[in-house]
Amino acid sequence: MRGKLRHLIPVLSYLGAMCWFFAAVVLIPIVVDLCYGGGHAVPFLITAGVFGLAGLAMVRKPNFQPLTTRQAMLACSLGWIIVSAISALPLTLGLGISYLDGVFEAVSGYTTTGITMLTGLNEMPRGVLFWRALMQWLGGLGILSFFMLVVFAGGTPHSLMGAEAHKIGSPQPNPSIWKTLRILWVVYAILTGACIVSLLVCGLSFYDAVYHSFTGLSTGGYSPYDESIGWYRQAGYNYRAIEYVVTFFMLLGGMNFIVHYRVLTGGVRALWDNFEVRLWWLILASCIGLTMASHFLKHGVSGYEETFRNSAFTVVSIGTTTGFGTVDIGGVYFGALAQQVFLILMVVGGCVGSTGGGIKVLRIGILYEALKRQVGRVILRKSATNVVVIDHEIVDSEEIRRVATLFFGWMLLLGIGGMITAAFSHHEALQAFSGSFSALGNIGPCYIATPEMNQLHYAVKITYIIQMLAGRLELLPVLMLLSPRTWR
Amino acid sequence: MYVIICGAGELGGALAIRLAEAKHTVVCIESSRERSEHLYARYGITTHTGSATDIEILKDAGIEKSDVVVGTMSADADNLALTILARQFGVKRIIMRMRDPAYETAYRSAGATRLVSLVDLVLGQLLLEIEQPDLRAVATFGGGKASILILTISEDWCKSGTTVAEVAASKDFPAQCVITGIFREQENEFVFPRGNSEIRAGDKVFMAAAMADLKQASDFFGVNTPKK
Repeated sequence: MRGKLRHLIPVLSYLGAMCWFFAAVVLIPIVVDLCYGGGHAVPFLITAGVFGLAGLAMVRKPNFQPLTTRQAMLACSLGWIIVSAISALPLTLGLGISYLDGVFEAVSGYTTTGITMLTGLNEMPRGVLFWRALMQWLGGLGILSFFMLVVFAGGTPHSLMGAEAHKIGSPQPNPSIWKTLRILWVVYAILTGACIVSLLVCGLSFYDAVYHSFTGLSTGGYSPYDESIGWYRQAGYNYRAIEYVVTFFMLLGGMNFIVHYRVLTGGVRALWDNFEVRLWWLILASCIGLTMASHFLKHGVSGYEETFRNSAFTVVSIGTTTGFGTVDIGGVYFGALAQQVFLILMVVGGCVGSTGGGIKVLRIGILYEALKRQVGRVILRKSATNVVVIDHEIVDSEEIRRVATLFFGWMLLLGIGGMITAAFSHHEALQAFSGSFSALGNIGPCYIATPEMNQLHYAVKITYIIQMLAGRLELLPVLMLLSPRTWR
Repeated sequence: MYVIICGAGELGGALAIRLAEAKHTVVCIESSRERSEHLYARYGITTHTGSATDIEILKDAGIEKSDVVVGTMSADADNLALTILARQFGVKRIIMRMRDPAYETAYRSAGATRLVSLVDLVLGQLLLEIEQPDLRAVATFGGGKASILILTISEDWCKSGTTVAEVAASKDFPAQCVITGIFREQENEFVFPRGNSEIRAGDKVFMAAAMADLKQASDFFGVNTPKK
């Protein structure tokens, strides 16, 4: 590589190393496959080979030199795209779906979205399906780790890469990136382990418990069943307990992992002592209330426990951007008010420093405070101090501008995605929009029924793939790829 | 009370925080944007950025409805201008921090109701620390003319058990000095002294005294004062 693209060379070292890592990871589902009948190892071996070759093609002697801001951003977005493109192979080869659907499924996995192109999951080989859960579990915290390493190696300031950097910039348990990283992974592993044990106690099989723990804590939302968590009610399990347990662990996945670290080390105050957590409780509580009210208004007041359970499950599932389902959100159960609440939750998303997507609760809070200050500007005297304050710290105007532009970009992509969906499908206005909300916010379900998702026009699928990536990477790194100046 | 503090530096800022904690309405005027935003963000105190000698800023801060205006700006000239403006708006209590005692007359004629001279306060404290280290001044008044202080009665004071009346009647005890309280640390008891109250070794005696009589009073109780 010479001339104009010379500045890409340092990026390749990181991308190559990542491919080698995934060449090893993709062997894990083979073990699972062997435990559940076997016979599907070949697609994974091929994929491991492709990862290995891609790694070799990009770099032979890794040289991790510091990256500039532009290079670091490029490494993040390219890394995500390359890994997704190759990770699609086991699904395409193992399940016989088209390559585009395979890429969609992989992107939906790594971005922890959970929109699926697959129907008839219940009959599919467990080993191949496990690859989806593994992608989501790695996507939840793993790729964030890769970002942190790139940023750390780059020695660039923490505030570079939109939201993922926000996670790094959020109050850290330890100033060293390496220690922070280790702590986050330990917390992630502990919570995943706790979730597996809890689900086993509820009567799930080991495979199901691991699967849903992987996809629940990563706020991904893939399930090995078409009916998602709703399957356990149909199959006669102790579904109430299962649904409450899953709700609880989804909730944990959508919260800042630094909060978990503080709680695990005895700082219970972390559950209410900062602005974002308090706002998070407020949003969830009021949305659960509204959803219950919406159901009661439509179907009459009865069945309190069931209404609460279904409302809490669905609000938490969408608010954390997980996307598990027990009741069809587009069906008659919830009513129009609740369906609008869900759309708003899809935009807000989880907390910063969580595995969730969306614009993030903290940013919505900052925008709300900025709105209050703007009203204050009209009412108050000119000399009066009128700055946005979060947790006794001033949010500087540069940060507010960043959040405001992110919000605008988000709205823009929602609009474009909604219109493309409407133009290339037969769906109603609200349904078409909901698909766009779901993809950009990394949610999963929308008001289009799952079997109809893989019937969508390829233009819509490509739009959703771009939206999923843009939402997860917080727009900038993806929009950057579209600028010709990036490549000069 | 509605208090406007002009100049929210170390002193003005600390004052604002204490007043806000005591649920008073506090408004600060501070020329440094950074300091006003810090007070606003950290302590939720209403602040205005600008000069407190600017009539528009004073109006913004609500001087027309204020009960007290405090001037803690660094330059006496600024505080002086503020005093005149505050009086023009009919503020009842105008309290000024005076740096240079030479400005006292000017402040008074401008309409300051109270003057606080840091130099005098600190000077009195420092003198006491040097000359009578066993005395502790609690408060000083009238630019150091009088003070309330605490003195510990030593173990070897030969007249232990003497009553307050006897002390007051003694010709060695200065006339410009009143015993206002006795604290017995071991019994954790505070005595409001009457004529028959006893003073024992180890007591902490609170006295209001004229500065000039301090030495005589401490000599009376046998508290050592360094030789001059």
